[in-house]
Amino acid sequence: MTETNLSRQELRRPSEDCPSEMTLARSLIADELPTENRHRLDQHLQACRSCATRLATLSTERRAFYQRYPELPPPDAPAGTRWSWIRVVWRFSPAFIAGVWVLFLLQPPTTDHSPFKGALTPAVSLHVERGGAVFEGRPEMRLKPGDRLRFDYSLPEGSAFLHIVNVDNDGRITSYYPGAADSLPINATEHRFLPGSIRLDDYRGRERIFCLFSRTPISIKQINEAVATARGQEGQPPRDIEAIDALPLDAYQRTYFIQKEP
Amino acid sequence: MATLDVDQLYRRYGHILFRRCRSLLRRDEDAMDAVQDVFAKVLKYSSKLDPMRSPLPWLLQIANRVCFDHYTKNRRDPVLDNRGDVQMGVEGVRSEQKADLMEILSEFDQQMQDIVVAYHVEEMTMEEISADIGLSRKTVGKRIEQFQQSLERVVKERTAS
Repeated sequence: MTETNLSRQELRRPSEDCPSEMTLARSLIADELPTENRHRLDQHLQACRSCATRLATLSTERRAFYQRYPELPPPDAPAGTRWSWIRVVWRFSPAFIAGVWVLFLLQPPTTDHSPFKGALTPAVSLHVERGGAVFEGRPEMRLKPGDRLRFDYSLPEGSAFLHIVNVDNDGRITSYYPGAADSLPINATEHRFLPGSIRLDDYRGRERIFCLFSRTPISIKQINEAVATARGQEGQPPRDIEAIDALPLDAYQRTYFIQKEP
Repeated sequence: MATLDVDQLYRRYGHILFRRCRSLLRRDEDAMDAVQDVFAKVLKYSSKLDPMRSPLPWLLQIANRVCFDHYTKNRRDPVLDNRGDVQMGVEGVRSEQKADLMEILSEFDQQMQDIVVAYHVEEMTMEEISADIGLSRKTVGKRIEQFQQSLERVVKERTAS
């Protein structure tokens, strides 16, 4: 039997202070590490070259694994009948459907216009800092003026363009990233923090953050037009921003609905 | 995870499960078979999946069960992996004796297997194991010590004979 070329390099912990192999492996999966642990890990990685190398090794190995096994191969069955059966039953089992529904409620809404499919879908996380404490952003949350937001993203493969905007209930648009310009290209990466943080202004009310991953650049003008379209026709009351969970753009979208209060 | 399904579970956790199974079973083919069995069991026991928690600790426990079942059925050269003898902290465990570690562990209860594999194979800290398994750190420490003593006893017996 031949073995894969998957790395078997030693990933032993260089010292007691270093994160375990499991922690590093978990850090490669979006939202798998609690925010506090992720920050601790990020700080450690900045100071420990050995662990940065361990993480890079694991990341390479993970990529090689999914290149070799992009999906679970059917066991001992050329026709793959067993796995197909598992898949069908799984998807329709009541417990699974209930689980999916709960998880769906916990996740930021996404759009169907995504140009990214399956395992190649990007991911984004929002981290909120308030008074020295950091917590994970939720799809719907109450925030305060002065809260600081940081985003990190993952892109499994290739390249894409990213634009993050905030739209308040009056239709005002603020570009969080990259600023008032076209979206900027990003390359395949795992959990890269966007530079800097955003301090929420004093606007009180309802806002929605749209994280837009696209295959081609999206300009702030296109976003303006998309927001106008999504808010509805002139002469009629505009749609509430809470009801707009996706913009009419050819992009994979993650959104966070915010109610800002004193 | 907006749409959790088997494919997505596999894409998120397949690699970690494969690593765990390969550490226990050594061969890639066996490990991949084990990963498939893990997902078959996930289907069977899906009602135990807590949507409010990461499914990873639960998946890893299933992976342990699958691998120890595989070991019990086959009893052919499975070892923890090539780090096992070093990290067990037991001097003088030769490579040919490494299979004994799996054998010894296979005679313990499932909880002990989960703890020892997490501690010695994955190098998880007692705090991490405690959080994943739902035991106090003290209990985790005691169980590791208990296994260590058993291992040392077996090694002494074998050295004497």
